[in-house]
Amino acid sequence: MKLFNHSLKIILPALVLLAAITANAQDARLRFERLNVLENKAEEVVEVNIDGKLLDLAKRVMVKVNDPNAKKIGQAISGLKGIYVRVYNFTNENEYNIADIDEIRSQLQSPGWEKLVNVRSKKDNQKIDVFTMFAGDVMSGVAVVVSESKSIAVINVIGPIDIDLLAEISGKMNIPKIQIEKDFEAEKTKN
Amino acid sequence: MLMKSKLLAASAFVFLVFTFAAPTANAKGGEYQAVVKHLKTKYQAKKVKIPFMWLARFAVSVARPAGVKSFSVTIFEDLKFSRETLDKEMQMAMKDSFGADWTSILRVRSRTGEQVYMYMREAGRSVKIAVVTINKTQAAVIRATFSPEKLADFINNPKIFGISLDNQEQQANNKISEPKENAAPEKKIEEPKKDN
Repeated sequence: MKLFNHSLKIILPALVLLAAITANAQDARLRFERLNVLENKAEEVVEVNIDGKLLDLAKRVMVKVNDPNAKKIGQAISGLKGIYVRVYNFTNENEYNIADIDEIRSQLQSPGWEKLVNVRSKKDNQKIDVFTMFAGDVMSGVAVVVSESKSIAVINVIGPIDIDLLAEISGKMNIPKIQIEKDFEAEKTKN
Repeated sequence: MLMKSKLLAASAFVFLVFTFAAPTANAKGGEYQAVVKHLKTKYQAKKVKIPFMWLARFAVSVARPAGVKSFSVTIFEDLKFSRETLDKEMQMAMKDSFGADWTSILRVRSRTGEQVYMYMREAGRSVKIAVVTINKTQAAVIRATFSPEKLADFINNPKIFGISLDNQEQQANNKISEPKENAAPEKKIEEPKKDN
């Protein structure tokens, strides 16, 4: 009986913690329903939904390929739960209602999300927001919202993202180069 | 007598291949056929004949290159549709054709009449992919079933029927088999020019 109680003491908090992490990971998923009204107004629409199944498939292939970079990519995507992209391009300026995209931004005001980048430019009415969500020390979600006078783009990545690994594989296997270190070093030398 | 029995065995094999391959293809291609039917009836599309497609499909089912177990391609031309309603109609048709076990991976639509729809689903250890593209008055419906594990094996060692498709490996083999007389001349190291 004692052993049972002891096991319960360990299992229950572990289950609660697991549930909290899972709930957190689910929270990182943005709701795109409001963007559906843009379907008829937009000249071009791009919708990408890469969920766990496809990521798992990509992981299965990448891990088996005898290439260290492919293995690293497999490792980088191993924990990801989904990648969702919506892009809307318009023919004329201000053809969409800014409230539609602000609704997405308001979702990112909920607890858990932290603003990482905030760019506002008068040129093309450009607004760029990058938000991150953390579960402990691990990044559990990223959201990028870009709006310009003629286009809107929303990117939502769900699941743990290893930034160090991402920087390591950048510039390889058609992955765009992330110049985090170079920029940082350049700033260092400037100062 | 021996010739007769060989002929009998061969015809039995061909019969077996066609009787078992045909129903499997039909059973697996329900969604594919539904989309093809939609394009044909709704947009009065004309099917473009692809010569030797049956041979290509048979070869793929036997050789299974890059882990591809089977595939189908249907090309249409002269599609008659309204640009305003095409996307909605296609989305409805895709939803009706592909069940809940299929996942919509990609959808691209442009007012100029370009549309891309990509669906995927797992089938045991294999993966099924369906792509529908519409470009103005032309359309293509593609379906393939492949094994991710075999695809990885193919990336590691690209071979079909034991023939390597790897350029580096082929070049290495050619170098070994080439006689020395035909070999490419060795690069001469140029001496640095002396300044006068």
